[in-house]
Amino acid sequence: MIQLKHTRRDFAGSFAKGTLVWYLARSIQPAHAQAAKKLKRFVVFYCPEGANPQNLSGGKYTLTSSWCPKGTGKEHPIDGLSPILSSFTNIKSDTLVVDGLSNEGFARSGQSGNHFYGLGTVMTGSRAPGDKRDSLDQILAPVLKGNNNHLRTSVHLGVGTGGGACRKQGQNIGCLGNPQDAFNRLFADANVGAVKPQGLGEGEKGKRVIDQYLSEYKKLHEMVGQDEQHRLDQNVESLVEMQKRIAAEGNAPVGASCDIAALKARKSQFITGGSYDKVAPQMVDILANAFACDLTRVASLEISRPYGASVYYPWLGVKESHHGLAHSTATATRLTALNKVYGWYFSQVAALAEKLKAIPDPDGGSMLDWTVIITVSEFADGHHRANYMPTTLVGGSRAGLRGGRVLHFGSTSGEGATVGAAQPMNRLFLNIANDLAGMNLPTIGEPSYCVAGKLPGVT
Amino acid sequence: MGRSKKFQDCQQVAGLRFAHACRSGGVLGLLVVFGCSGSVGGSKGSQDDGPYEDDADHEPGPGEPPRVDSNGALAGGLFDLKCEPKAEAAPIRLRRLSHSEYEATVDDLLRLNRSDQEELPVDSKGALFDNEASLLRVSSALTEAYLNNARQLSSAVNLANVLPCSPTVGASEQAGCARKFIESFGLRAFRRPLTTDEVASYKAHYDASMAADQNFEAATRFIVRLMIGSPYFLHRTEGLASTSEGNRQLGDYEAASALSYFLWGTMPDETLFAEAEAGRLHNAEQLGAQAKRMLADDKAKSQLRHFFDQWLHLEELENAVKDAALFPDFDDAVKKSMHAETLLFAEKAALSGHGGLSTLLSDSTAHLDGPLAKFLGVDGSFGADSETVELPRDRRAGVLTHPSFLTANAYLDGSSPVHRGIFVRRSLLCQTIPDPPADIPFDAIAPSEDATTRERFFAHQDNPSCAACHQYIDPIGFGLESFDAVGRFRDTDAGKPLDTTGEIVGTRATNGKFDGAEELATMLAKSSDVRGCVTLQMFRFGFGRKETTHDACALHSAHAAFEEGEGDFLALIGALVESDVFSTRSAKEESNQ
Repeated sequence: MIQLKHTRRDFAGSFAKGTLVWYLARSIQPAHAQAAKKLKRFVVFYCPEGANPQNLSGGKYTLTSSWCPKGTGKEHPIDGLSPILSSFTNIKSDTLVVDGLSNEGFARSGQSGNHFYGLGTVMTGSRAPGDKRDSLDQILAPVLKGNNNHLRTSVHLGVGTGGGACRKQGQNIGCLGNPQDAFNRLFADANVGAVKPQGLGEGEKGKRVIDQYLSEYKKLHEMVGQDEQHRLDQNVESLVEMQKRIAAEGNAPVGASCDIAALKARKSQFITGGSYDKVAPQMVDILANAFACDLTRVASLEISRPYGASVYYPWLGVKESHHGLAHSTATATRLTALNKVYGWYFSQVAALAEKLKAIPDPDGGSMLDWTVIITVSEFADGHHRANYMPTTLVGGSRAGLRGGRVLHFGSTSGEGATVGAAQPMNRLFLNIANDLAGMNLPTIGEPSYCVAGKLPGVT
Repeated sequence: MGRSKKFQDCQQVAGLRFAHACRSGGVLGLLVVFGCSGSVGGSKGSQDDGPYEDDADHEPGPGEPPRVDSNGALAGGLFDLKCEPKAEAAPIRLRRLSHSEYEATVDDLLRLNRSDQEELPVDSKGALFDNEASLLRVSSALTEAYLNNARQLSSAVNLANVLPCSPTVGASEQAGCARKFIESFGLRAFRRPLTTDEVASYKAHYDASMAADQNFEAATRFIVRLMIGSPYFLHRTEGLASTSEGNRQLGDYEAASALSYFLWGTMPDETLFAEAEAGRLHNAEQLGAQAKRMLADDKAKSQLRHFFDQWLHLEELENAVKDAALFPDFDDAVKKSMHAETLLFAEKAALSGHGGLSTLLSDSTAHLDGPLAKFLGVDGSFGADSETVELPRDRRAGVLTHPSFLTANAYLDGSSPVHRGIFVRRSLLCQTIPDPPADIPFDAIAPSEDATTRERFFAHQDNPSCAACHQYIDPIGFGLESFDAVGRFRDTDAGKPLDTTGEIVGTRATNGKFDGAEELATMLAKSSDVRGCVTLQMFRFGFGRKETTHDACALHSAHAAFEEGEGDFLALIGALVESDVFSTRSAKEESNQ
């Protein structure tokens, strides 16, 4: 994070001085490119309203076994699957459940009523969304991309508005919310037998277009205030990404497992409206194909939105709105219904993981072995709790993540235990960035949440 | 919803908090449910940066009681803003076109009718409208969409519609035509004359294209491509070249854009450009005259619809899900008809001039097509196009009794006095209600076969903590209990006769008791609080930002014009356009939030 920010600042400054060329040359060789030998892919999976239901009784919150698999000790194997992880049968050994973490910025914010506040801090690890930090996926993205300039830095898919956990400068990165559009965007040329990013294919002309835009942004940059300059930096950054993709055009390797015939067959077969149960599996499929074809290394799949007062799950036979249900687990019936809802969300994670597990990775093993999927929500649970976030990591065994386990970092654990103190998710982010992705960041997000360093036992 | 499949995100966190007792009491955390309806014009907490810190000082946090003044009125609304003239005007702005502005502007610029554009990634949306300048940014995915559109649309455009000469003009005239084209098309694309350097830059691109393949058509199409992805096309800019101290007047071209994006949601037309060129867009009289002309244009209708769609949360209807067992005939066709009815009704009310807001809030005219008439059980002959009919006053009294609104503000299987009441508080009265505390035990208002909705919700009144907020909300919603979860009229609930009495409390000038939708509608239609709030909403929509104390005097003047016309939307828009805040900007470099 710090390093990226530094880059951006340098960039803004250099821009004003007209040393764009310097920036471009510099940014082609990111500082961490050489270190990115481990983790190859990273996926953020978002679901709303917290997915680790807690019980409230007599003013006390207690943990349930809805999400976290049962076991004893600070570390134990995943023996039986919990209701919410019930679809993880085939990926049990790839799964690391990290119990007892907090959305720390949200916890300390005094904004506990605010879903969007929690959403703004969860993946950025920031003190407040207004801190304008990048989320972990955006910190990892340039590193995982390395010198592969033909790649998209990240791809963000959404279902039913699509969350907003992934952020640039604290602000929601827009996601593609329509499967057909996402497919067209990513696999536009599948119909002619090549899979390559759309929008390129005009070589010299494409370059001239972007050069012109960059020169205009440069002039504009000089004429606006600092706040607006920061905004323009994002425009410029994305144009530079396009510029690199154009430069790499023609040499862009297609992923070895990219199934062109299957993609051609999928063309125009997407349902673009409809309920989540229809749309989400299509997005999962698109995402798995995007990795198989090696179009990007970082992605998010964000289903639904914070505060789902009008989000219902009739296909699960659940009649109450997500939000209403999440706010009370007072009866077994309600908890069962809520488990069913989150069980469905996590079945989408399982589906993605299983697809990646079935795709061989060029460096050996499966794609899942080199990919980490992290599950996040704005809260830990529907009572707007910040502690005991539903943090599940799937995959990454060849990057060093040891699955098949549950790690407890809270001061309490186990069904019926009173909810205790928790450790900032920032600490786990340090494990992911430094131990898995080979970065060397002293802090991620708010520095004061990182003082205890990375978590023990993750790798 | 969201332009690109518009989503109405509820950016805003749910309204009320009801206080502590609810934590231990068994009473329904209903409150938490409706927050979504507060997104436009609501109080605090958008999904993006900015408002948090700014608002922290003057809005109560979660779990705190709602703020009321010495007369017991809830905070918020126009009358909290005191007109105390200040020197600083609104700061310089760089605003990216909203998705709907972009789509309309591309079509107008290229003279295409609903062109085939790539869908744009979902935008951030805050507590205001979709054109909230501080939130509109450009991501990689959006950049790619802009680039793709520029390439595809430059191929799709009919050059004969945009070139100042024939696309097949002889070689000797091509260079001259190209230069003219760069100037004329550039002016329309950037909404200002190009600088000499810019003309030279584009001419150099033209020359390079011609040198490569001598293809005049391809060379001019390339200019189109360059211009419709340019930052000057994608952003509205104001005061870029200004070096003056203190406040400055908008330039004539800047004023042309400010007018056209407010009133039409798209670029200026030829008349506005001509007025700008002649230097006739810099005083209130000139701006007012143009506004009057523009409001008579069809483009104003679609822009007003865009306003109502957001202000009335009609976009939420698209996401509405109902229990199929209870409402088997509620389907997409019905939803679409409901939505179309309200937009048409609202547009007509707004354009009717004098008394427009009263019409909007209390008129019993319905616009029914076949599917909607059948759904509502209205007898008669209705086809694919809507027919205008008068419904009995107990069944139809303004937009709050429209099936669209009632359906969007209800549960899967029942009506919701909370959703409906909070809409009135936040969107019609612009009042602030604090967020709920974190730990509400949301014990469902378990639907019960032998209790009416009102009876179940009445539990709120029995619990002092819940009542702290719900006293302001539920009694308004009870007035709409004659309408079920899909907006159909009913005269019983759970087999019992309905009680639709209610009361508005906690307002400056709208307090009182009522029985039923018609009386509620009449109270709101006459309310100066509501007119004040609509003044704020229209300002936020028209200016793409939240009001500040600097705007207070202008807002009160606009409100006075609105009052004088008894809710005349045209007068309100005219007054906002003629205000000094419309055409004055600060030269000070300042963060815009």
